[in-house]
Amino acid sequence: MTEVLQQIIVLNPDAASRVIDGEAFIITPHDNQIHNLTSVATRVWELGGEGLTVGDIVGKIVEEYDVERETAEKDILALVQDLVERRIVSLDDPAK
Amino acid sequence: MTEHPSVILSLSGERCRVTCANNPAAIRALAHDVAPFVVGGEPTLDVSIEFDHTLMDPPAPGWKKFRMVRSEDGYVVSGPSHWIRISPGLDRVDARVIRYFQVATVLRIALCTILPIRGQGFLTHAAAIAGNSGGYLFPGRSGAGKSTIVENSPGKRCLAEENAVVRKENGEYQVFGFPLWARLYALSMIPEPTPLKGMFLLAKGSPQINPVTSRHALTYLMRSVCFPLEDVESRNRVLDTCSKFVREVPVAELVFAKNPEFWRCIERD
Repeated sequence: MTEVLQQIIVLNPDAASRVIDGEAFIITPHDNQIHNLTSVATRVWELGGEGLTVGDIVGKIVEEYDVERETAEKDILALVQDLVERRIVSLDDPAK
Repeated sequence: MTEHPSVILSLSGERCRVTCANNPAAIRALAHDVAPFVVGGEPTLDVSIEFDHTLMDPPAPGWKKFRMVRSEDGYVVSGPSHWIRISPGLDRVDARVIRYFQVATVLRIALCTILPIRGQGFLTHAAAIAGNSGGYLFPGRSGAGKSTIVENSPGKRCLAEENAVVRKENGEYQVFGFPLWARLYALSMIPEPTPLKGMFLLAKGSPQINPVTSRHALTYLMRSVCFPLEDVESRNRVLDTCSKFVREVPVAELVFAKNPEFWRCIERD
């Protein structure tokens, strides 16, 4: 878990996307599927586009939303895993 | 200069001049098969088709779907039995096919590529029916109930059973059936546009109409829109066109059964 928190999120450069009314619509090219993210998931995805680590993103979400760090960390790790499985993002080592 | 056999067709508001240098019979057949769509005037899209029997038919083993690639030469689809290139200016199409019915494939791929890139509209898997005061669009993938909607619309004019084109002209959305496709001869299709009154997302059950959010409508519509280009910029254009559409046109969920009762809900709504 700690390992993931230290990794950076890389948005899929081949995925088309638009944010409409605060929610992201993303088309993944490998399966041609459209994904609609909630507003919080959209914020996490946007912060991922800024090259932040997952741990940094947890910190930002705790600042921006009324949520305990422990809860935010658990929810964001689950969300990131889901986004990776759907190939909306990938994880990378910041040291690379 | 030799004049090649050609015919101008009005397809979804586009005047397509279809030319075929090496198969005049194909042009004669086309002019006959879609006679109501034959028009005069200046074309807005030039489509040059060549019959080429060196293309592979049937598809090679392992071939699944065509892919469209964007390059400096335009937009190219290279399938096992057809080859289509749309010019970067979106005003010319060059194609090679094996069989006559693939002329429809060429025109369909051309329009479903060109309209969204120009931001004019889109081609979608949908039934379209003309009601008393305008047309209704019923998009959906296979099995959603498009044919059931058509079969249970007695006394109404079917604009499309499987493919419909939505186009915005002078600030108004219009719906067209797409000819040369599926059950062409079972439908009394017309080239003229029908003003679009609304879109219904299909669900099966006891007839009723339910509100939907714009995001649900957009997700549903995007799953039905036909768009072969896979690059990010082109797909974003489709997302833009469709997101604008679901905000500007009334959208609701239509729950329907295999009888015409759902029309009472639509007309009451």
